[in-house]
Amino acid sequence: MKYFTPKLFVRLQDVHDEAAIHDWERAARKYASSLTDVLPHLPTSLRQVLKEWPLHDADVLSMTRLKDTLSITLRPELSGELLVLSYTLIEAPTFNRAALPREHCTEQVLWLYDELGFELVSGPPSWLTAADRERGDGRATVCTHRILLSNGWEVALKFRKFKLSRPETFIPSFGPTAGDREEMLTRSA
Amino acid sequence: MTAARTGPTAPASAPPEIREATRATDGSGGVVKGALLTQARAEARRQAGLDIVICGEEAVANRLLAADIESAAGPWTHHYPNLATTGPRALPHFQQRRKPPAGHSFYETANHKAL
Repeated sequence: MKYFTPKLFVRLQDVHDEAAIHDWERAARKYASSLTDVLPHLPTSLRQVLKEWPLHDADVLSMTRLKDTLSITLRPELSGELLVLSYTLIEAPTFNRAALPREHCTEQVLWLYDELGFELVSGPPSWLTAADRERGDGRATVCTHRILLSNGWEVALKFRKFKLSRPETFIPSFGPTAGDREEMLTRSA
Repeated sequence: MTAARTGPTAPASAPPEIREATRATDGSGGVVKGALLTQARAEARRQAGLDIVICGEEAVANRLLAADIESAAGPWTHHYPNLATTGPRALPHFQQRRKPPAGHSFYETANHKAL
């Protein structure tokens, strides 16, 4: 992570660390600024995810890889539906399984923070987008996604295609909604 | 020896308000404030997995009170927004390190306000 670093996240856990909050807000502004440059290079479906589904605190239900496709199944916090994010990787994913100190890790895996970017790389002609061909330097645009998870993992993906799926879900069935909990609290009062 | 300055004192800020909260479902990450709560009611609400929000002008006081209330439910983790993935209206919050209970203790800052 370049902006929302694990170290900065740990500093945020000290509620008296005012500097950590200022540093976080500065990082958020810098990232928002960088995202303006990144967005045009992202696949449309990934831009759709950014626009419609806040992923922060989403349950990460699975992360699997089959050949060059890595899939992450998420349940966004306010949603009863699942999202499956599928990345066509250009290289093996990297995992830092000790990005957060153990005392700041959780057993339940939540999506904490993520950063999107892009790079120009050498690759076969099949990787070239229309914009790459127009630029004419033979390099292909690939996207990067760095994700910090609450179990302390930092995942780094480099990919050239992205697909979003929203499968109809029968199992798992999810627990009570906030509305159900509100009703239970009212009944018990 | 100069006399001590006795200029007008700044008006004291109103104490933070504790309110029920619900989450906007429009992808904005917004938090909608509801009825006023006592701290005891807020703690019960958090223990039941429901959201609360601390509103007021003093961000530090809001943050410390939110942490105090969240502590009643168990060990917490503190999250600050990354507006790109939390939604543009998201608030900083505390939540349980180990769920259940679900839910959050949100708080307002100068830049992040409840709806």
